Amino acid sequence: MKKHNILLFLCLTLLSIVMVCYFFPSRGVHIGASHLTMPTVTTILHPSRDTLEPEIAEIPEIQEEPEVSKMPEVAEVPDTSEIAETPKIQEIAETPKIQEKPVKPKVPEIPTDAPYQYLQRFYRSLSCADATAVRVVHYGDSQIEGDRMTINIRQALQSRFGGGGVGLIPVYTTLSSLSVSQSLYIDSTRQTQSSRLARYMAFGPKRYRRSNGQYGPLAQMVVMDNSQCRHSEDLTLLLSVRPTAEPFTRIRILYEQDSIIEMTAPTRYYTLPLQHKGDIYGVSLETEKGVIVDNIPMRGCAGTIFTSISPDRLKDYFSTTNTSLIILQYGGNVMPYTMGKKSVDSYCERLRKQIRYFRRIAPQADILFVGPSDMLTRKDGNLISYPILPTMDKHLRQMAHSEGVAYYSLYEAMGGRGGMQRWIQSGLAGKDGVHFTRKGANKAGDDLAQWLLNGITATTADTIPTDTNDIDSLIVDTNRVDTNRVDTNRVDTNGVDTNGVDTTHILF
Amino acid sequence: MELILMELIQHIFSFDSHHPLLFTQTYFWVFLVCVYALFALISSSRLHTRNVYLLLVSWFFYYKTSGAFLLLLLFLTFSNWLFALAIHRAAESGRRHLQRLWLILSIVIDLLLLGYFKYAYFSIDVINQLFATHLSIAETIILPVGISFYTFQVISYVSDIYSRRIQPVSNILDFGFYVSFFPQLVAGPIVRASEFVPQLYRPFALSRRQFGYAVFWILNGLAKKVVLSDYLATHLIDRVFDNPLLFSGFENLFSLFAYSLQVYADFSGYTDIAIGVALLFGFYLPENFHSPYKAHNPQEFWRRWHISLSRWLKTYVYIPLGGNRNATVGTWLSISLIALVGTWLSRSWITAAVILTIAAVVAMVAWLNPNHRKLMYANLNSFITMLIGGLWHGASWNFLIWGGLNGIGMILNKLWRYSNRHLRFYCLTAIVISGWATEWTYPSATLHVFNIFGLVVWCGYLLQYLWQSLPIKSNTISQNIGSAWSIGLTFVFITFTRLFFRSGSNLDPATANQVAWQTAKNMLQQIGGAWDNNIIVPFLWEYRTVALLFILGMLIHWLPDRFKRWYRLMFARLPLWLMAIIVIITVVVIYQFTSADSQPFIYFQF
Repeated sequence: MKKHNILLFLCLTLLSIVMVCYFFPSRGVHIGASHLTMPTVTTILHPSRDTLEPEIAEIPEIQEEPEVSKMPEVAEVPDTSEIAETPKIQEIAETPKIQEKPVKPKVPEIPTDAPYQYLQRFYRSLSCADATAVRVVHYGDSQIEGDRMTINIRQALQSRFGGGGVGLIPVYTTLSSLSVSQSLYIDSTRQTQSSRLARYMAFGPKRYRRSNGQYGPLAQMVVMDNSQCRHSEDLTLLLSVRPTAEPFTRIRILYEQDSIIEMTAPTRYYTLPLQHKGDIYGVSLETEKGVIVDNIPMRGCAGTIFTSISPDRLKDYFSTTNTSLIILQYGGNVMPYTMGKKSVDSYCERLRKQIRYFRRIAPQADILFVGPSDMLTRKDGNLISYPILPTMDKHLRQMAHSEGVAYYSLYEAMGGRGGMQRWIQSGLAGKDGVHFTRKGANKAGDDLAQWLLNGITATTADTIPTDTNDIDSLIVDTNRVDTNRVDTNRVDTNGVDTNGVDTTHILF
Repeated sequence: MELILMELIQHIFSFDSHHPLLFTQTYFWVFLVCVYALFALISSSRLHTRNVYLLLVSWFFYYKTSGAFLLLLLFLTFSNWLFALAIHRAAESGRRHLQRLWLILSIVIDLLLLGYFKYAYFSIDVINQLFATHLSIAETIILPVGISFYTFQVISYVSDIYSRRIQPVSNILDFGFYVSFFPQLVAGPIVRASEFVPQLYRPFALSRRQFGYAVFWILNGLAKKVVLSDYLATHLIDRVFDNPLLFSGFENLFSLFAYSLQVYADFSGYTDIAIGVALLFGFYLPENFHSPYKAHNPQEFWRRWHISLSRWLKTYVYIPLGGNRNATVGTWLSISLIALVGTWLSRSWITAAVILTIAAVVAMVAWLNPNHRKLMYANLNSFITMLIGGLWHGASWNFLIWGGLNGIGMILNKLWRYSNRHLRFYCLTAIVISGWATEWTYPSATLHVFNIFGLVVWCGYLLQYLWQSLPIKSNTISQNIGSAWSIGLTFVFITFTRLFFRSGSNLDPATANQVAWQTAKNMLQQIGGAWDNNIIVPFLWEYRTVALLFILGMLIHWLPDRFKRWYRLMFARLPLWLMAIIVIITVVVIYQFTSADSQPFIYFQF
């Protein structure tokens, strides 16, 4: 075959492909359930021009919120795990494209000192950590699984205010943790599958639900009955705290009533015999004093399930453990299903209910909401941040502020739009564009812990207490702030707060 | 308009590290047509002009792929051309020592350059430990694209000149063309001078059927790379490998098998395109992958997988070590080197002691058993070759384990084939029983995975053992079943070795160990422990596109060679207009996979 014939073939074929691209409808073609697209000629000539990431295409950040039109109301944004099992996933995914129209933000700016104001009771309780235990409960989605991020908060707080142990853990888990290793033995057989245990969870697949809603603070529990063991002594939990955490001096077992085992000396290892009948809500490895931080991950959860948990056991846990701070870290799991402002608002309203629920059952605790990280999705072959993320972040912040809840923007901590791309390039996030790597989780956790500690600095007018005696000065300040705190609980719906404390902040 | 034009020109001629030139980009195909337009104008009789033109094009291609690393390619080309001439002259004048000196010098320079880019972090670690220094690498060292391929190619050229297999290329431009020919520059195959250099002096010739084959290989490669490799990776494999603990045992297992297909589709897809593009210019590149997952045993797998590298390792590592004849100084030096690297990685002299003790025992047994000496040395040399192959990928535990597992697999398979069936059965039974007994005493997810695999092998072999005890002659059906069984087991074995494979080549050993080791450990933990049958069907349904692609990919892979040859021929014989239509349709279909939106995370396991 002659060269010019080959050239002619190549040219004609390439030209035909360009023609197909030119005449192909820019919005694509629907054939049945499939949506066919082709690149535009501009994309072919200059591929990076169509990329939405500002770092690449230098498109200015979207400041205005998109307004949704022709979009069906998404009344409920269920956990993604549940979505997977229902046809709703398709309905939501196939909603018509949003027609974005820039509108001016309606809510006034939130004062920059707001988040730390909402944590004053927590900061004040830290001053008593040398005399009593102060509990921080960190709820979140898969981003905190395996003690990720929580470990950094725990290390930062315990190194400064004392305390040990890893807090509350489930009796049985298939997940490994950075801080603790645990094995449940039934009849001397290590449980590697959940088949022999009746496990119930408030999140995840519906088959794990419990009719009475008694899940406890972990949102999951196991029910044991005698038939599961051949011998009465054969139900044991082997516990080993890793060097990444401090030893514990006490074990709290959450049966229907708490049972406490005191250690004679701080330890990392313990073989814990368990009762064979009844509900077991978890085991807490803790100390009598200092800060204890629980890591409670809920994979695939959007953080809207707490109201389905019966309040009795929860209330009891929060009060007996002196829970001073509840961290809620959610939002990532709803991003793929959030199409516009209405669904953002709907999600915020559902979270508002959860926050109010916590207010009722843990009135002594402050609440910190950690928003979703930057996340990527693939669009026309390019990886881009979810366009709705800035809107989601902003609305969550406003919702938190209106509820008197501190808000930490993980999205902004990552550098805002395009942050995930940079984190992937730096090895801080996985290629999925959603989850952090171990290194990334450490950075995100350290940043969050540092932000929490900065609140103390800010409220004590640049005085960082080096030991607990210095915190007396903090009490004076926090008392003043606490007065304000009462007001901030009554922040009006516009989110205007005039009781700001003079603080400086890195974030927010 | 002017701005766009300027941008376009800049885009065409500048190097963008974020968008290196790849076969899967539109730019490459426009580039190819432009290159071919000028190529077509050069008269077939003007070979020198053609070769110089293609050399310049190849250098430009490499610049677009790797930027300033073009200088490295130029340096290696020039230095090795000079060394080859020097070796040849020394050989002609009978100065054997000088000849050897030039050879060693050239190989040392080549390997030092390769080592700098591949083992810089490891070397800095060694220096810091030895001299209590605190050296660090200020910026990330980027591995030049294709550095291993062209380094191995120049080493093979100089070695072949030394052993007088070929004559040196007198013209440096021709040599440069051999080293830099753009289709095979980035991902191989590693072409030997004896195969490629003669083609430089032949005028262009391509039959109509060969043209059809070229188009077929290009389309085949694109489909493998984009549809099988990239789609599977983006939509499932990357997610699972990045965070294995987020997924259940079945999801991890499925992703591991999908990864096996992805690695094959990615690498072989790229080589298929290279073969097709080279053929359009009238150059023949050797086959690099011959349906590797059809291998009946690990040894055969390495004869089918990355054939040019396996052949290179055999010619320039295994045979110089003594091959299947004996053990040489090189064998013991290599063992010492591996022991040192192992010691360094583990920070414990026990590793060296264990490796050297095993080597000493092998040497002793071989010395005492003259009848089995050759077999033992052959196994030792092949094991070392596999370990060196592993270390070539990177100086970290994961690659050492990966190479070691492949070496052990090959040796065990050889021993298995040479032992009698009763011994096989009793040994296998003993291993399976002891494995389960150990698991009973010390439960472990890894051991559980191993035991399940052992039990499956045992069950299969039990049937074979019983069948062989029956007075029935072996027939085609039983042979086919046996063949499928061997292929399946080999595929599973190779797939599990890949647990340790998925990590960057040029990484800080601590990072590589951390990333790869944790990934392997966590995946095994999930596969061996967090298994829940309830999620299998929902998972397969939600990931149905991924699952169907995987099944389709494997089925196509396992199609009989004869059938594959038939449909290749049918395609090659198609009228050009029909071929063009098929090309356009294929491109449209392939694009749908590149532009597919991300699948949201769906969690099944709790």
